[in-house]
Amino acid sequence: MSLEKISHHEDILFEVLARLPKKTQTRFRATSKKWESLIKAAVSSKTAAKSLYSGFVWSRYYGEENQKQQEFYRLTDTKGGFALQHSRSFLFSSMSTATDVGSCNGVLFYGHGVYGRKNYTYSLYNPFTKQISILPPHYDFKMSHYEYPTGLGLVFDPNCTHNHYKFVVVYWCNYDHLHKSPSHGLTVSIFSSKTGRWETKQAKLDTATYQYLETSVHDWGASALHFKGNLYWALPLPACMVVFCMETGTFEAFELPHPSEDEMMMGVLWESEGKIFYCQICFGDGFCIWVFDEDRGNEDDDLPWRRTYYIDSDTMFSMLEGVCEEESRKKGAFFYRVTSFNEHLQIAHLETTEGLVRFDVAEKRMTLIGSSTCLKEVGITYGGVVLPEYPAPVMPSSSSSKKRKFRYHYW
Amino acid sequence: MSESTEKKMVRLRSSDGEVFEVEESVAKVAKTLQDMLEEDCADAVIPITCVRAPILTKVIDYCKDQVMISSSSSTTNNPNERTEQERKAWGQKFMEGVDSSTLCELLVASNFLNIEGLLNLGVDKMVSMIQGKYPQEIRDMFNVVNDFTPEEEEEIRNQNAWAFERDPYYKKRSSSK
Repeated sequence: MSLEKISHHEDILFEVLARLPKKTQTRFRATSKKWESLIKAAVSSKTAAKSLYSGFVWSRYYGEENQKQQEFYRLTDTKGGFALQHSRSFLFSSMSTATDVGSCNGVLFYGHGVYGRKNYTYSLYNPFTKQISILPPHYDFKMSHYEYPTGLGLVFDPNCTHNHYKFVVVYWCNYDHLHKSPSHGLTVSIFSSKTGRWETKQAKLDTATYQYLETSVHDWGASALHFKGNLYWALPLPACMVVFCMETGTFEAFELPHPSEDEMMMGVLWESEGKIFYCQICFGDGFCIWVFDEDRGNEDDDLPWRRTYYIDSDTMFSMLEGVCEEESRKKGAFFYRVTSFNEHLQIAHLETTEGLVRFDVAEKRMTLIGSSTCLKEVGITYGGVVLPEYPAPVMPSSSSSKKRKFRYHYW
Repeated sequence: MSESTEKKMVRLRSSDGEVFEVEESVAKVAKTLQDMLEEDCADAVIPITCVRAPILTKVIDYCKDQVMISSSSSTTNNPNERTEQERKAWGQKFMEGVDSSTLCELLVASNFLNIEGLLNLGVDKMVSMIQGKYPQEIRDMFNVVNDFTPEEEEEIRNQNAWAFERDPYYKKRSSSK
C-alpha cells in the first residue's frame, strides 16, 4: 500500500493530519521532521484560527511549458521564529495566468485572462477563508492592446460593518472611449461590490500633476496602498507618489525622496498609525524610512518627506551576511526590495538573493524565514506581494448575495 | 437575463488525452471549472493536466451524483433526497474499493479542481487508512525518510510517551552508530 504520491502535496497531507485522532496524530510526530512540523502547524491552526494572518504570494513555474501558478504561503509564528507554511494554491494557470497580484487589508486580488479580450477580468481571493470572488468583466470599456491598466488598487476596510469593497483600475490613455474623441489623461474604472457594477470616468488632474505623470513610465503596478479612502502608488521614474482620492476622483502627485539621480528606486509605501511612510533600499545609500508630511512641501526646496530612520548600506550588508549560508556568502547576497512592514513599522520583510528575510528594524536584527534553498525545492521564483499582519476579514452575510446580478460571489 | 441554452456541454481532456463530454452543470460542481466557465474562457476543450482518465471518470461520477441531488432537492417529494445517514453511507460506498494509489490521485484531482465534498471524502478515507498506525508503518506507506537523529526521536517519544505505548516497530537505535 503506497501513499507516496500524497507526500508531495503538503496541503492535502495537512488536511489529513489535522483530522487524525489525537493519539495517532501525536504518535506521527516521530515520523520525520516534515511530518512533525506539519502536525504542529495543524494543531496550532485548530487552536489559533483567529490569529493574525500574514503571508506571501509566490509565482511558481513548473512543467515543461513553464506554466505559472501562484501560491500563497502563510507566515506562521512558530516557537522561536517564523516560518512559511504552504497554503493551498489559489489559481491554476493552464487556464489563466494571474498577473498584477496585489492586496489590501488581507484580501488579495489578481488579474487573469488575456489582455484586451472580453475574458480579461479580476478576482479577489481571501486566503483565510479560501474564497475566490470573480469580478464581472467590464465590457463597456473596450480595452485595446495598447491600453494596459496603468495602476490597480483595492479599497477594502475590514473594520467597516458593511464589508463592501471597491476595485480601481486606472488607464493612461490617448483616446477617450466615453466621448469617442482623442484625449489625454487618466481614465478610471471602479467596480463597486455594492452595486455590482463597473463605472468608468475620466479622472481629474491639474496641469502640474498631468505634466509630471506624462513623463512617467505608465506602469504603476498593483501595489497601491489604501488608506482613508485614498489610494497611493509609488512610481520609480520620475520618483513620485500618486494619490487618488476615491471621493472626489482626483489625482495628485508628490515627489519622492531619492538619493541620487542615477539610482533605481526600490521603495514601498506603508501606513502606520495614521501616517504614510516610504521605505527604500538603495545600493549606495542604505535603508531609509521617510514619513509623509504634506506641510513641509510648501517651502521651495523641501520635499514633503522627513527621514525617520536610516541604516547605511555597509551595516545592512554585514547583517545580511550574518544570515547567509556559507556558499552564498562568497558570492555575496543582494537585496531586491522591501516587500512589507508589519502594522507598527517594526518588522520589514526583505526579498533577497538568499531568500525571504525578516528584518527587525528597531533591534537591527535579521532572520532568514524562507531560505532560497528551501524555496528552490518548490521551484519558487521571487516576486511576491505581502499581506499585512491583519485579522482575517469578516465576510458579509449571504443575504446580499441573493440580489446579485452577475454570477459571482460577494464577500 | 436567463440563459435559454439548455444542457450546454463542456469538454474536458484528461492528462492522457481522453476527452470527456459532460453537462455544464456537472462540470460546475468543480469550483475551478465553475470559475473558468463563468469567466467565459473555456470555449474549447479544457485541459485537466494533472488528472488521468480513470480518475477523471470517477470524479465525473461524483459530480453527476451531486447534480442529481441538488437538481431534485427543490421539489417537495424528492426520491433522491438523502438523510445525513444515507449521505454518509453513499460516501462510504463511493470510496469503497478505492485503492491507495487511486485515492492519492483522487485527492490530488479534487484538490486541484476544488471539489470540497470529494476532497472531504478522500481525506476521511485516508484518515481511516492510517489512524492507529505507528511511525514506521507511516514511513513505509508514504516513503518518508526518518531524518531525526536517534536523540531527537527519543525526545519526541519521551515527551509524548502516552501516545507511543507498545510500539512494536520501535527499537531504540544506538546513538553511537
